[in-house]
Amino acid sequence: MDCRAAQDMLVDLLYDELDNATSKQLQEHLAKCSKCAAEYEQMGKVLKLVRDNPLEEPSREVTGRILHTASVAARQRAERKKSSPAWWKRLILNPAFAGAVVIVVVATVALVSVVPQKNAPESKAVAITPQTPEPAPFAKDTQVQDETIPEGSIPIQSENNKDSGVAKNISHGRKMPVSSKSTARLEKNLSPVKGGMSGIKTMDSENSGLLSDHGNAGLDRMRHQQAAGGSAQGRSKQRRSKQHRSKQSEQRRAEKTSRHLAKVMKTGAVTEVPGTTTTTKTDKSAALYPSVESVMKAAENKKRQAPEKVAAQAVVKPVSKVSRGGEGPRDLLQEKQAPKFKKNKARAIGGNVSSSDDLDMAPQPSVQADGSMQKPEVRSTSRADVSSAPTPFASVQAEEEQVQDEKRENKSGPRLKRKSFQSAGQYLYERAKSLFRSGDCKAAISAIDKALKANPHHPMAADALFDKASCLIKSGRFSKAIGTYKRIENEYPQRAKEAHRQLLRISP
Amino acid sequence: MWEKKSDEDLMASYLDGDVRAFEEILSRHRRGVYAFILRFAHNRDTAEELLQDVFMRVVDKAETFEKRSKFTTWLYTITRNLCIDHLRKMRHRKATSLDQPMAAGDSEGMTLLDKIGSDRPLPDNSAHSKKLGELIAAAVEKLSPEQREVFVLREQSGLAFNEIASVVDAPLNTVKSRMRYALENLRANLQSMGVEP
Repeated sequence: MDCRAAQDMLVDLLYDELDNATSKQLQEHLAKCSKCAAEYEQMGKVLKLVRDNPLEEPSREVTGRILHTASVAARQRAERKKSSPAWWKRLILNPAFAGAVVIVVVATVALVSVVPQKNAPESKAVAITPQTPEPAPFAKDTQVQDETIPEGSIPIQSENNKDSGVAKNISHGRKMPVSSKSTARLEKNLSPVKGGMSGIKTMDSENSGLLSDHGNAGLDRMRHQQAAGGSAQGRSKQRRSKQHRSKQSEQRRAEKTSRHLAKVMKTGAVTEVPGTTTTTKTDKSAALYPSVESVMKAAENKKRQAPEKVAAQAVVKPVSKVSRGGEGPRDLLQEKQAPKFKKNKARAIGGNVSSSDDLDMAPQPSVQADGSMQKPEVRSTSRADVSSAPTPFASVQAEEEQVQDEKRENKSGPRLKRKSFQSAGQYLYERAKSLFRSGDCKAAISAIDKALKANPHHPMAADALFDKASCLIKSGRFSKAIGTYKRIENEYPQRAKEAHRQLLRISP
Repeated sequence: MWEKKSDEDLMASYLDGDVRAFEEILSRHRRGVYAFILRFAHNRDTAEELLQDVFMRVVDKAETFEKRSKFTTWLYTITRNLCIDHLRKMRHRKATSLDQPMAAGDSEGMTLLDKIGSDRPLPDNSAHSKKLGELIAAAVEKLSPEQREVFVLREQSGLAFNEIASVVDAPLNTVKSRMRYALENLRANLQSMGVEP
């Protein structure tokens, strides 16, 4: 070990931070090297001197103050802990968390409402499964069929098995009740249903084409529910109510799907819609969309439910150019396009249709004899009334007259939007006022005269006369200005004092 | 009971509301922290103020202290930061404080107020007229700030070299070499004051 390395390790040796081997080597070097040994000795002496002198201590007051502060802080912390709500309460009260929860809930609700439409067979399967009694996985298939399924239903089921492999799953799902007692009980409970079990089987056969893997999932779910369920009687009640609900939901779904199909047809993706083509019942894509029949049925239902709408449709000419699509959705497409056509028609007869697809007429106010505008009576806004809806000709004419007047006068002053005013009279006064503000005295006087002529008792009339007088003064026509103020004094007593003051100002 | 507990456990107890745990912490570290501050502040009153600030900050930030980290490292990091802040403030102020000690070479530990306010003759500079402790303190003050802080942290605050390395944010070997030079310079300073170690 050389001196440099030894000197680097002297501090370590002083503080005993060297391992045994290194410490031994260093001590051997110190024994040989007097210079390094002297340095080591001096360091030790300095340290001894420093350590022999006790450290200065802070005053007790400071220590007391620090302890007091610490105890106060500890107390406050304890109070905070007591008063502060639990972590889950804090989380709930946190606005960010609340917002996130709301978003998640909305998203979930949206998903729940959308997914069943797309995966219609899933819910169908749920609708079917109530007819299946409690499953018993350990039961043999042959036994199950013999015990639970009435004779009348067997051929249908076999047909199902022929038609689709999915139906097999259904029958498999019905490896039900092992005991014949439960089967008998089930049949008894289902007796009010027309056809009993066989009737239910028929319904199954109708629905079997719509079953898919989703349906199996639904079956499994139902099996699970049934396994945890109560008595056979309660289950049968549940099944009946579910049948009813499933019928309703089927109708709703069919309507929704028809709308969806119409939308798809519009975008030209018709070929992708299985409902428009003949699909086999085993087709998986068919499971995602309702069949053509169901779509047609839904359309017919809709027609039955809203005859007045159909009447309105009757007025509509069939759309000549129909986008690519099958027969089924075409009606729906026409129904969807009908409002557009009617809208055009309404425009053609002089009416004014709001920008939305809504056919409700937006009646324009008509100009009355005194220049004010009156809103025409709003009539029924049903689609059937569209063709016979009264056109607000009067208001349109009044507007046109105003436009023509403007054109004739070729005003260069600021243009105002007429529709933003409640009446034509107000519009004229506002226009005059804006002209006055713009400094175009001549045009302003003309506009004021016109407004006064049209509606002399308008609340803005007195102001307009004041403006006119100001314009006349600006133009140097003092005598006419005096005449205007006198007119105010005479015709508008409420403003007489003000007019009198102005008269005193300009009178010689 | 408290003597056997580590600083980290004591802090946890204090966070649970036990003030006696904090009292134990204070009794363990107040001398070391005060000695460290005193080598920077050069003034007892200022050092006490800074000591109070340090422990106030410990109280305030107790919840942020992680038990897995070493308490002494955390405590002396706070202390060092406060001392540096104090020195910066003093530098910006530039005004000579009456409480501040005069130049280290002229009269160690003596403030300007002492000098002005006293009609007595200036104290003798000889080593015999002063206590050994004051001389040692004066010799330590003559060290460079880097050497001084390492020396004080090791000798007066009792931190290990690796802890000092964390506090001063320097490599371990650098810390050790600073310590070595600090001891050499301290010996030289003491010798210049007439003190033979």
